[in-house]
Amino acid sequence: MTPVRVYIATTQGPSEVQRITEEDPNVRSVVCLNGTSEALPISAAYDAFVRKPTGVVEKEYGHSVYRVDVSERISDGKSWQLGLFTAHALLCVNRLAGKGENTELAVWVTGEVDRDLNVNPVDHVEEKLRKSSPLFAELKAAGVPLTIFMPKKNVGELETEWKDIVPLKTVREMYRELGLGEKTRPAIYKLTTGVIGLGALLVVLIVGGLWWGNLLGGIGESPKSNTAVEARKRPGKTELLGPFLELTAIEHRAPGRCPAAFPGGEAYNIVALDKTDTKHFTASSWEGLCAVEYGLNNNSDKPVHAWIKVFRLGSEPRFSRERRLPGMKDRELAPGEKLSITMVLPRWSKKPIMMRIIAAAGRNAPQETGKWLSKAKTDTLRRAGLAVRTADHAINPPTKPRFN
Amino acid sequence: MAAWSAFTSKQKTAAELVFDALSTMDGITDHGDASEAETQKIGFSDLYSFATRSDSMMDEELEHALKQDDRLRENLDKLLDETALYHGERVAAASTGKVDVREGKGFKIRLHESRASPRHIYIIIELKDPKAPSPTAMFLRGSKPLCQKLTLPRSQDGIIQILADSDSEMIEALRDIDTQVFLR
Repeated sequence: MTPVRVYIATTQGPSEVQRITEEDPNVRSVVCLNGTSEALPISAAYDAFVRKPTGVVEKEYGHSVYRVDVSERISDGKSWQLGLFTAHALLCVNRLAGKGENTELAVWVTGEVDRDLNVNPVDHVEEKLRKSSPLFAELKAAGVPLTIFMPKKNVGELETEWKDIVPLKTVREMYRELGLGEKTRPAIYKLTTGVIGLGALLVVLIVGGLWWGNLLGGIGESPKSNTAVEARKRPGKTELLGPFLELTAIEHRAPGRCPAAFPGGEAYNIVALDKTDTKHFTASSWEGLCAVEYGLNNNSDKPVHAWIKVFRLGSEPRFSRERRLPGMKDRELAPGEKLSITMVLPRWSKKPIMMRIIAAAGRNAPQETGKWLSKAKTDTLRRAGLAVRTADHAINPPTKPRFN
Repeated sequence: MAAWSAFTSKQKTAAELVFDALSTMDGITDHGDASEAETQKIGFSDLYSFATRSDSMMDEELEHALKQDDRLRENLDKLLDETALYHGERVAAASTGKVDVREGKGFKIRLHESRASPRHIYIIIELKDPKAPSPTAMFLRGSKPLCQKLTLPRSQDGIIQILADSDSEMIEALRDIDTQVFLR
């Protein structure tokens, strides 16, 4: 039977289930982003969805703790339940397509699952479908058939007509559609666990031996190895993201003097600065300049996690309006969103002010990113798979030193 | 502070001359180290903010100041001690100096390697009284780095679980017997 790729629908776009692995019963179930150690906020709810007595996964599939890896963030709500339940059902018969694995069928899923395995309606289905249009087009172009699973009640509420929808009242209809066998499948799984376990152990030993041999001999990984796929793809993804991240600098100029505290209700002239080259903004003149807003635009079609920090190269701290520069900022950026940080100019200066802006962004948020960025370790950020943008900005001193 | 507009032109000229002189003096004494120039005096309010506010994290300036100033470190220790809900002292362990379990009054921390991904480690904080107030931040006070802060997820039945890279500074600090843990 062919492996099936499961996509969980979110309002930010589809999130692919990349892997489900059994974990030690001494820990809690966790949903991680893209193979990293970043646990998503739904982890606690997923643990409750798995674990007896509240959960249904342990009851159906016999194990109490799992780690799931998904390709994109899933922030909250319960509409992921049907998607992850479907993924567990496929995993149980070794039909869940892993990351990078070829597949001949994809399922796009949204819905809640209750303790009796009924499928309950969810919100924002139309929006989720719209956000997944690029994926549907990709799958169509690749010739991969798609099935959409959603609660029956939601189907009746759709304003647009969609093909390939399978309305569900219970998970049994999903079992039937995927040819999983409604009652026998979990029972077979439980009865044969011991036999499969022994077989799996042998397979692991053989595969492990081959892998170790390859490693020692430098022959390279098997083309189907997830590790190999990840190693090849990760830098590519960063390179792909890079051109879609844009650093900006916007001047806030007051017609007269700047107010004592920015912004202070002043009507400013807003001037967007051009770049002289990829790493330098056009220098600013001092007169009338109150603040500069540095920003990072996410021009890609996917959400990213972004960080930005400004560094002042040389200073006259005695005259700073603010005792310290603005701290680092970070948050998730939806497509088209901007993360910005504002540097308020000192009231008085006779030297040029040199600013360095460093921003980083990626699909993942490695734990140490803030620390690396605060130390301007751009190479480390890149090695962690993040796209990095830097630019310098000079603010020329006044011709004659005066209060601004 | 008087408004600039309240000064006479004579006063303004005098102030500009003084500022010019001070700026020249700064230029003479400036060693040209950008990172040093950027570092400004860290005060008690910065420490307090770091110890008590969830959005205040360790940054380069604070770390630098803590390294340089013994008194600041003492103040941080006092603050953490006074504001923490739970405190785990240094571990009295055998000579290896590495621990996977730490216990403090009212809590226990276990490090558990992930079966699914051996390069990741679960940090499991077990509160002995699940109904006790749940901490929202963990501070690791060690030697290198001096202090790490981590925002904690909500506890579930008295258990807080975090996943971390096995080679991260956080794991290294938790395994170091000389690290003190403060849960706030």
